[in-house]
Amino acid sequence: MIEYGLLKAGGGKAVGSLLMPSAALVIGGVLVWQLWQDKKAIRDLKQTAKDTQQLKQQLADLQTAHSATVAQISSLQTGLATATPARAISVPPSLTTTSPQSTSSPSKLAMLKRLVEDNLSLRKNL
Amino acid sequence: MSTIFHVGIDLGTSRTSIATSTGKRLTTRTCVGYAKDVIAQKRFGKPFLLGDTALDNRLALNMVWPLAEGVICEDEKALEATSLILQNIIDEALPEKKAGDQIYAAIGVPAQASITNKKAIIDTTRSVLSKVLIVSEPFSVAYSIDRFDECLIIDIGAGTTDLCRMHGAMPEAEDQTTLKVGGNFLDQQITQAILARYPDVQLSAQIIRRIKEKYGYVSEKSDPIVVTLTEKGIPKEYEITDILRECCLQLTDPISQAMQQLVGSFDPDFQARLRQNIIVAGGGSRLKGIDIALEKSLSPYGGGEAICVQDAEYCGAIGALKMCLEMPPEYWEQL
Repeated sequence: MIEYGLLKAGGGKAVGSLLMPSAALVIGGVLVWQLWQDKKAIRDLKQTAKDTQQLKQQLADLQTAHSATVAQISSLQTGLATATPARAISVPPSLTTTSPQSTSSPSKLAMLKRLVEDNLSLRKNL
Repeated sequence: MSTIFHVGIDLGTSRTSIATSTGKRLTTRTCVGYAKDVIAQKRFGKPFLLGDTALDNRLALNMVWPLAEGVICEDEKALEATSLILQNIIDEALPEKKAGDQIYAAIGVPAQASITNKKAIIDTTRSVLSKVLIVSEPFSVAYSIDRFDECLIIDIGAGTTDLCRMHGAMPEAEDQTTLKVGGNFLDQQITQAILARYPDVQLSAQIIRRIKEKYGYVSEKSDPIVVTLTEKGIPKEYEITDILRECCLQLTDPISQAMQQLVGSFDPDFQARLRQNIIVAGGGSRLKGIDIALEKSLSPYGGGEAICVQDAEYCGAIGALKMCLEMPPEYWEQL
């Protein structure tokens, strides 16, 4: 019984002494692998944070540009609505005119006289 | 007792407009279509059609546009066509006219129309009108809006573009310039440019005119312009945004140069005032952004301000009518 006990204990120790380094190696490997994975995850996380930050900046830029464009369009629309009629000269409607009325304006009379003279000289050459 | 009617007429290359002392105003295409054969004549019941009706039936007609480059072509057919157009538009505008009634008219012609052209108009209208006053078209525009002080009138027609600087008196020859570019020139440019980019599209003068009138622009920005054209009969959409602007600029560039020349050769004390009073009339004034483009071309001269007349179609005719109505009877007697 004692011999068996000794044999069992010795065998156990022998197996233990054989397995321990391997187990330690495996555990160490696992730990290293875990650590490498964590580092990669941290790196990825950092990159993601950086990308997010960049996207956030781009979005902010776009928002600024959008607001500026909206303001510009709004200003142009207002300008167009108010400026168009002011930029056009209206011609008096002829529909109200029914009878001739000689002008009394001296400058107009002078111009009309000159016009008639030009037309008369044109006829002389006919 | 006979009645005297007064009319103002803008005899243009593309359109003829009339305004009368009875308050009517009409406009028509300046064209006559003569029936191609007896079948066409039988269909229409007469040897010719006028204006828009002729244009609508042009496949069965030989079309005559008597005013090339703004003046009457010197051939029998053109003179006859002009007479027919004037007779027709006057008859339509003055249905109350009886035999023995008289018509006193002022007719607007290009600023630098030759004496021969003016004579041709007087000859042509002799049978239709009792008294005729030939006036420069930009002066008619100035008269319609009562602008005789320092201003520059730019009348962009189909055949010609007239520029005339006003300075409180009748403009002299050196105050006026007529450029042989106008709406028709622009039509040619647009046609060539579209065909250069899309060689197989089918175009006609009417299609080009519609495109120009609807989309023509010289402003720096525009919404994309996409038109539906056909290729061997199959409709497709074509993008012409840049083409159209480049073509329109080919019309406005020479106008800008002529404007700069008239401003630059004016009395230096009044140049600034002239620059601040640019008035754009005629069909070409409908090009989007033309006022801004002209203003921009005056930047090296210290800037300027251009405005377009509201009633481009009738502005010249109304000015001519106003002149008729304000002319003292003794002046008329001399003609």
